Amino acid sequence: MSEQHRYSIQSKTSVLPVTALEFLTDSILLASNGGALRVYNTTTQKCLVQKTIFRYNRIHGIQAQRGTHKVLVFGSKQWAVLNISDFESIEIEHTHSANDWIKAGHWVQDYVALALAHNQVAIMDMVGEVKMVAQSEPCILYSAMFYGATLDSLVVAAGTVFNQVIVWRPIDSTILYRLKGHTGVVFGIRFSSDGQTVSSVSDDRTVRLWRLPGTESETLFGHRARVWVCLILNAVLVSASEDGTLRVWDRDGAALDVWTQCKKNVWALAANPSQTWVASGGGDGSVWLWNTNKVKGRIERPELGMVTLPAEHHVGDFTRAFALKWDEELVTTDSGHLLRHSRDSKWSDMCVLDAIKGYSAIATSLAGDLVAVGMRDGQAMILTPNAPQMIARIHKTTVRHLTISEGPQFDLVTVDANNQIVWSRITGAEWQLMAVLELPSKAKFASVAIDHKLRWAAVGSVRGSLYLFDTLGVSPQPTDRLASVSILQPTLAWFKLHSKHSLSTILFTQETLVSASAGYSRDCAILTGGRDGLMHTLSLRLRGTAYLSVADSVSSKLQSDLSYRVVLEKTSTDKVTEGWVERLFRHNGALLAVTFFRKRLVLLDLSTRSAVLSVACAGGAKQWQVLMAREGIRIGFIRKAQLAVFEFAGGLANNSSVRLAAGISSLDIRSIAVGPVVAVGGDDGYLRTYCRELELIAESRCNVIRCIEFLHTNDEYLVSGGCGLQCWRIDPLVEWAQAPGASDSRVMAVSVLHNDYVAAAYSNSMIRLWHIDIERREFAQVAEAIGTHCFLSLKTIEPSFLVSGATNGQICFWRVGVSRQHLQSALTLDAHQSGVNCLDVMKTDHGWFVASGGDDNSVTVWEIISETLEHRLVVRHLNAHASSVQRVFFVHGNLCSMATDQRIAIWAINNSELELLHMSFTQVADPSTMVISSNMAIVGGIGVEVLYINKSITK
Amino acid sequence: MGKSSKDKRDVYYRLAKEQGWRARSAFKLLQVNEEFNIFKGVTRAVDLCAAPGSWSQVLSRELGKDSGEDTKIVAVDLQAMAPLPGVIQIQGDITKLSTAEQIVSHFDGAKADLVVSDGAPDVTGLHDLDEYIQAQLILAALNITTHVLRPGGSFVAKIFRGKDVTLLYAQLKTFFRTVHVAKPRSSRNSSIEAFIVCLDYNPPVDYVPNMANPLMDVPYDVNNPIVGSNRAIVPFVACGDLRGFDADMTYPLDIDNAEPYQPRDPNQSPISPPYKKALELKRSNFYNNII
Repeated sequence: MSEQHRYSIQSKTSVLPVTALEFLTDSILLASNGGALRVYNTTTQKCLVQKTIFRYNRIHGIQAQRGTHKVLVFGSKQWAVLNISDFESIEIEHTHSANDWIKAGHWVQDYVALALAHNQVAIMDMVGEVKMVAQSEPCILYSAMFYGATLDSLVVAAGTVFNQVIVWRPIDSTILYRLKGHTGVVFGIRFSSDGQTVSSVSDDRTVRLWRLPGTESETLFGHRARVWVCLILNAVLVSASEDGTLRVWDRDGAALDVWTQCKKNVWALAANPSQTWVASGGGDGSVWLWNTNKVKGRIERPELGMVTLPAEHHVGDFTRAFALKWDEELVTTDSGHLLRHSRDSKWSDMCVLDAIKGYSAIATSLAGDLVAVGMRDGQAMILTPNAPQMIARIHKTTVRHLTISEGPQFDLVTVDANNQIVWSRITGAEWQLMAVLELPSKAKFASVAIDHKLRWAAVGSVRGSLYLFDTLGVSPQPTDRLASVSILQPTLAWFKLHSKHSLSTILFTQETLVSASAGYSRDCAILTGGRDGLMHTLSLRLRGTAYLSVADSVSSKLQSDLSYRVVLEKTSTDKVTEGWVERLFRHNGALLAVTFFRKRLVLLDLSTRSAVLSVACAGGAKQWQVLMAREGIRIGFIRKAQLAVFEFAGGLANNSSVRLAAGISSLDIRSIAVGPVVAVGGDDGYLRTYCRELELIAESRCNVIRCIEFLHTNDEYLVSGGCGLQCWRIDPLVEWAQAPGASDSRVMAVSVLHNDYVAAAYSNSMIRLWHIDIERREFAQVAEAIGTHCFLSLKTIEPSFLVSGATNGQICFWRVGVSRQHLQSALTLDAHQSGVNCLDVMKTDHGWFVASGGDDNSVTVWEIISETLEHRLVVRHLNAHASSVQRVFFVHGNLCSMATDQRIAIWAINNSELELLHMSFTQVADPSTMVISSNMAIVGGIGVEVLYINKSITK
Repeated sequence: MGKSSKDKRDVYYRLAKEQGWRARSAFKLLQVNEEFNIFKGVTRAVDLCAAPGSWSQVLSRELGKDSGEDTKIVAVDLQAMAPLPGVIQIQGDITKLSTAEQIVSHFDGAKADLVVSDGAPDVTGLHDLDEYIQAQLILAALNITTHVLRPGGSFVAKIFRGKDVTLLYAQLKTFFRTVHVAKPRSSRNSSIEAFIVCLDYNPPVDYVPNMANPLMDVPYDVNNPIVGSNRAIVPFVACGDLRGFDADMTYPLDIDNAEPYQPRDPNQSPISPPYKKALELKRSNFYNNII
């Protein structure tokens, strides 16, 4: 070849596990991202600068020198001294290598102390000269930490593979303490600021606190998996774990709070100098800030009060129902009294009603400003602060349920013993009937939500179904005219949305309201929660007359034209709890869920995925109330016929946490595909879509994903395989269709053919060809064939071949019948000693070049003549990589390969040999996928990295 | 998850239980031997990091099987291990000279023909760190091996083929004339694990075995650069019969028609895990009653 391609590969962006953090000031945070360092302003939440410090290693530790701008950074065997004076640039002053893995680094006088993996301490000067080396007991360390400001006083605590912490003094190699107790290796060590307390964390899932000079420890259980580090702050301890959470403890080790960051691994922690914020680095690449002033120390010890009826009611009477406000409680008793109980424990009788004797039910608005009482005889009573009480008979029989849906006005839904559902509205002192919502005869009411603005109502049933009602055209009637109220039938039903579990709560949300001049789109999202512990997000869209004019939405003149089609689609599903989801609501912008699990009520903040509070409610799941008042949160239950109240003064903390950087996935990413969006899937069981800058567009829960490919003819759809085979529409992200059967075997690879055909290769050595009917949302199998081993890779050669790779090292060609009804083995090539992980195909004048990458480190290129299937091995490079080759691509007639050794190589295919043109390194550990789209490459594994492949031509 | 679902996904796990091996890793050593004949003529063998004992089990069943010669097998581990017939157990640290001396004393002063190590550290999930610690474990095993292995002898150990694996390859090549990286078919395709098979022990002329200092790994250099075509890569060999079972394949439960499938318990329950106490707490509902 006369012209030579020259390549360079540059990292553009990446999301990698955050393994080191350090605050420079109260609001300047340093965070690692692979071998790069980022500077964040935590006040503005902006990343100020990023710089690569180590090209081939990950940063494992950062230590700022107090009072200067110097920062020590280390990782693997490398260390560097940086100057970060203006926070907007990073200057690398020195980079050095040690002869062993650096476990800890520390500034001592003008030197840097390094703790090395074989229990050595090296004291280095800035130019990398060794001033002193000290050795303690030889053994391998998993962790180490220094304490002390001078060489003479310097101590190091070393966490050994033998489950001990050895605290020793480098100046004379004296062992000061041997801290024994852990039953697993020690992963992390921290000192308190006075050096008197040491925390150690371990494989045994405990945090241990050692108060020197003693060698006895307190043992803190709580994390569900291994613990990586535990900070000792002045007021609290904060530990981070493999279970994806941070736990907060008081200095005596009592549990105070738990903060959930990601699905797996919180690797790094740092506190700012004033200890107001703790930063945490996740296995998913996220960085969070947690406000230490908002630790819910009361979480396990709320003030509990029992509201005991006054003496005159003691004999034979008991509490039937209640309403909590911040300053008082209303209670109905079995004898028919409605009582008021004030904060200073004074009782007053509000009324006695025959209709609440022996039975009553109460609903209260979230903030406590509207109380509705349901009675035995079908009457309901409304109590509001600024109006006299109102009573109306709106049912013919006992009122069983009352639900209040909030807005500028209150929508009250009452359900009677005959399952009749009546919707009424309270605006100030006016109470009007709106409609009767009619369910099919067998459906039993469980929950309701009204969207007053977009004119929707939704009802959930005890068998898990959802019924949607269009409320346009409803005209309000006085409360005594039930007969003239409109009776609405469901517009749409979604049966068994929560399997057969009760659909216990519904919430309408409008994320994007179309501007007022264009009128309102009635499109919205519906969240449903059920006793299966799941929360579904549904998107509701109208086809046809889609807009409601502004005038219509304000006045009560209503459009009667209902000639549209409602499209309801599930866009995501989240497992919120192992128990029941009983209520979803919004409060100060946060999405909250009331859940019940193992006799506890847990209030979850779904925005931060953390528990806000948790109380033991015993059997109180039947009658409960959560009051979100300005002053705080109150939770009430009926317990043994008495009202029990928990109170949390202060309420929900604002800004209790901030997400500084978004993560991607804490488990392995297995497949990436580029279409109109970047689709990413892997072991964590989510399909996510991103724009090319890796900003998340949408995510949806599914099963483990191993492979993704966009459809050719219609790239608004993609297929994913792994645990099952699915088709998805990407905007909005919706699971569109699912292939039937084959639950035992995994889909190892997919490849798309023209006209919505897709081939899938399975772990049980089957290849199946499917057709996806996009309109009918169905997969139909059209052909299948069987191989001998587990398949690993699959490619299409249009129009008539599939090429597969399997664990036996063979590449197989399968002829696809003209009508796509047959698959027949046509050619087998012995390409590798073990698994053929990847394939690529390039068209030639007479056929194709096929490239493969194997588990055996090698890469092969074959030439095949399409007419005759004559073939020859063009080249086989046995030692292309030092480990399993994961992806191969033809790029500009050259070959690109990527392997588990984290190298990306570009080879020229020259007369039966591969000539290395360029080799580059990726910071993604265990890379298992890569995709190339023009000059962009995205690598996925533990994290993702976007690279640019630049080519220049020299003659 | 039922008892049979792991059996379905992992055929070697099921076969190990059926054939009485303490762990599925037994097949890996058997398959390495099929390819490299490392057991041939071996009368003295050492199993480092032996627990739970499946490799010692393989050695005791296979060594001397054809020749009928007397064999001696010494198994070393920090942890105690259930006894195995024909295997001498030493509970000790492989970084101690005394352990090396103890091994040699069991061979009446002679040196071993074969040293094997299937040891792996607590894997954290930080691949660079895990690979480094695994490398240190191999170097510790190599260090004691230089005290107990006869020239010409063989050494087999588990490695992780990660980003710095060429450092290990380069180092092992200085001690052995032939070094291969082997992947038995019973090891899954997706697994980062492989086995280094080092034949014909031949230490550098000036090398003096020294247990006082750990054997450190070498840095990258001109003969083994970080990137480029001169990296120290050793030949790869897939081991085991292709007609045998495929570790990645999903099999139906009745693979052998003569004998209907029966779920079985593992032959050796795992040695007490570090988080034993946490497991007890889990069973007593502790984690459900905390925040």
